[in-house]
Amino acid sequence: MKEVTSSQLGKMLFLSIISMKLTIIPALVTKYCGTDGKIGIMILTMLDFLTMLIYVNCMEKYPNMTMGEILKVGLGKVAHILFFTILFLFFGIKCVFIVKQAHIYLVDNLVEEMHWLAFTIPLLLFLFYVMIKGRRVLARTIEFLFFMVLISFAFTLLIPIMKWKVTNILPLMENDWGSLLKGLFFVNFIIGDYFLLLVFVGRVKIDASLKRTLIGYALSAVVLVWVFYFVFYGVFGKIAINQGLAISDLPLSAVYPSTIGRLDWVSVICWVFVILMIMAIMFVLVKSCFEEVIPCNKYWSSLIIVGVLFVVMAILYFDLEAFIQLITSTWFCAICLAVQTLMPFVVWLASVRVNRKMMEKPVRFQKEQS
Amino acid sequence: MKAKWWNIIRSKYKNMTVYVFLILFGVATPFAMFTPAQTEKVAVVTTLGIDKNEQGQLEVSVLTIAPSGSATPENQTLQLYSAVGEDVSQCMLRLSLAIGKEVGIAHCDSIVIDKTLLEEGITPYLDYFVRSSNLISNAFLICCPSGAKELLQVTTSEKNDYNLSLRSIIFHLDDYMFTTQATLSYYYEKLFSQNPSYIMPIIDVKDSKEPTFATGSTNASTSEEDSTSSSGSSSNQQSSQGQSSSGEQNQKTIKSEGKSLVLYQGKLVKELSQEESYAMNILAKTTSKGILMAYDVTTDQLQNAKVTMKITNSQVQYQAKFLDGKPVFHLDCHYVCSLDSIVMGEYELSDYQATTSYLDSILEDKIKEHIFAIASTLFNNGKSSKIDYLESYRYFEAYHPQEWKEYLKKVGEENYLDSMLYTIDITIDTKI
Repeated sequence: MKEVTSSQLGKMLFLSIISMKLTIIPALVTKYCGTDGKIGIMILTMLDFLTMLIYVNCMEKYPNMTMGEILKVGLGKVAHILFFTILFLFFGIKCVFIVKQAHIYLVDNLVEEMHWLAFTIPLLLFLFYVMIKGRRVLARTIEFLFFMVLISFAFTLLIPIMKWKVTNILPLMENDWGSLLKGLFFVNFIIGDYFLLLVFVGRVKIDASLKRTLIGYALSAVVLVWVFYFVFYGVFGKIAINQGLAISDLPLSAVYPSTIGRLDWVSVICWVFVILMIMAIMFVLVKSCFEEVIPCNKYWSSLIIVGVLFVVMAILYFDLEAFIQLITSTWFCAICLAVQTLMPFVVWLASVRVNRKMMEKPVRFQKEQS
Repeated sequence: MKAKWWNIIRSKYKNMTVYVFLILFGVATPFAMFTPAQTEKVAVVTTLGIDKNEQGQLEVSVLTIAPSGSATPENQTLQLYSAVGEDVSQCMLRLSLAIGKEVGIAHCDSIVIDKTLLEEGITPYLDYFVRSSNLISNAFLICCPSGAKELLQVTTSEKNDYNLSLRSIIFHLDDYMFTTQATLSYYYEKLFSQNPSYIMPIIDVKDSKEPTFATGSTNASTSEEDSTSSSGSSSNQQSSQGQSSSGEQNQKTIKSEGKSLVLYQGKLVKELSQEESYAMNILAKTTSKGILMAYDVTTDQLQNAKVTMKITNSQVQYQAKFLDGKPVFHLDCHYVCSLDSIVMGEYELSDYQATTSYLDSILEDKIKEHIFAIASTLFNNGKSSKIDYLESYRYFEAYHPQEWKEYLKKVGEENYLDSMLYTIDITIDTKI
């Protein structure tokens, strides 16, 4: 079933690209790359963007096959299970991170204190509901709320603009490339945004503008992320390392909030919706991967995911530092880098092998498919 | 008909949405209903002061506001509390115990610091605020030589009479000084930079009879109530509404003369002289107002006159360049002025035309001469005290990183100002 249109997928992709990069990550990038983080983020996002072309090609080439089917036919069932297990874990860890950053955002901006149950229970219920409703409902909701993302961006970038200094971002490269690449190794977890497309292979309405639409949304998101980082470093310079929550620290850093009213509230309210949507996307992706590994009823899969996340959050909830230490540990970063590098290769290989099978035995292949 | 309604209800109950929202309401409602209002749990701090008292103990004072629906700036109740302790963290805890609420500093827009603390170095005292995720980093840092608590106390009464707040004073001074840069985040930006000098505005307290060059007096009075001690903390409370009830009244008011202090690595180095402050006013990029002066101007129309031009708009651009291996910091200043006053021995009827757009080449040269003189004083003083007033290193670092590194290697990081050359290009236009 074709669940989403290319435009809806583009908007989801847009959110997926910005999801990890605007809250806790800018300070983390600064910790490892210094103020060269802006160049670092450009390199990471561009490398990630290149992988997109492989996924979109696969999507266009096999409009009626899902990624699971392509993998099963191309590389076998074991590879299929392994592939989606890795993807499940990758999205799962991102989910925990995004939920935690959502909590920090709310506590930083809206409420002084928030009991973790008061945050977790309604949130998990909401996410459970979104997972049950599935990809189609999510895509339509995001299409409806997409303008909020743009408003959030506009206010977040405009409010602190008076504090922006060109001397804070120059020289573009302060340290050498070696130390920058070393720093990027420790934050490579933040990319892999285009894995989202893998879940939608075979589920998107293919039209002539698919590639153009997806590239358009992806490039816009990438450029906005770059602009965000240039504003961020232009405002904070070397003390960017202390800005634990970039999207709220940017508007709050302006020294004229009383004269421009509480415009930062527009940004805060919009970001709350945006973060909810980002979480919804991640959870739907986790659920899709889970169902590929363990085929089961949507209620059970959603319930298991919510239950597991509840336990994980109960353990990790209060200790963001520990979680950040985990995702920046050498072994974790090495695994992440391997996954990010191998995934496009595996997809390409599966795609080639399916193509070869189609060429060799087109009739048998079609029967298998039917 | 009955069956139809039943079907509708049954179909509704089949919908997962209903259950999800019922549970959401079930969870959220008790939290919303039984959680007390935040204003009952949190004392909203608008201004915070740090002092060292006579016994050498650290004293933190906070000006809290009691938000209410009907409150306007004129009738809002401001209260002053203070507590002593070994460090800021302990003081805040004791304040919380004394007030009976959590001390919420999310709305604190100014931190006033006693001058004696600046002599010791303020970084240890500000560390608490860096780690507190609640305090916004754009809180202003202000020095009060008479004591932070004193200033807070006067602010309480000033606010009541004239609706003056420290923030509004700072914003006004912004047009004439560096003050909007005097924030907590900027302090740290400078502290970890190549030239850790930081300029902090002074706002003081004076007796209303005390003469200053700043005009304005007030009948505002403050009253000291008995301080109470509780579990090692002293709590001093002052209500702005109760000021006329006490016996002895001290006539005190806020004294803002546009003065500033220079800190180097968080420690007080010097107070900017009037001439230096004036030079900063004229040469800083962030200021847009001020006056230009020319002495002994003699033209066809003026005889030994002192002419003051009011700057209505200014644009100052900095440019860093290297000439023969030497760093040259160039200032391109463009002022739009109007004639403000002429002071001379005799006036003629033509002077009574009160023109504001008068500017001839002699007057222009005299003004430039004066600017060169004060700029030269500022730069020479900066070189001798190793203070980079105009942050020239930022421009060299940004636009000539390689040459700058080599230059620093050659002269040493601390001596980079020694061989620096300054050039100024001035354009003056009159307002039409």
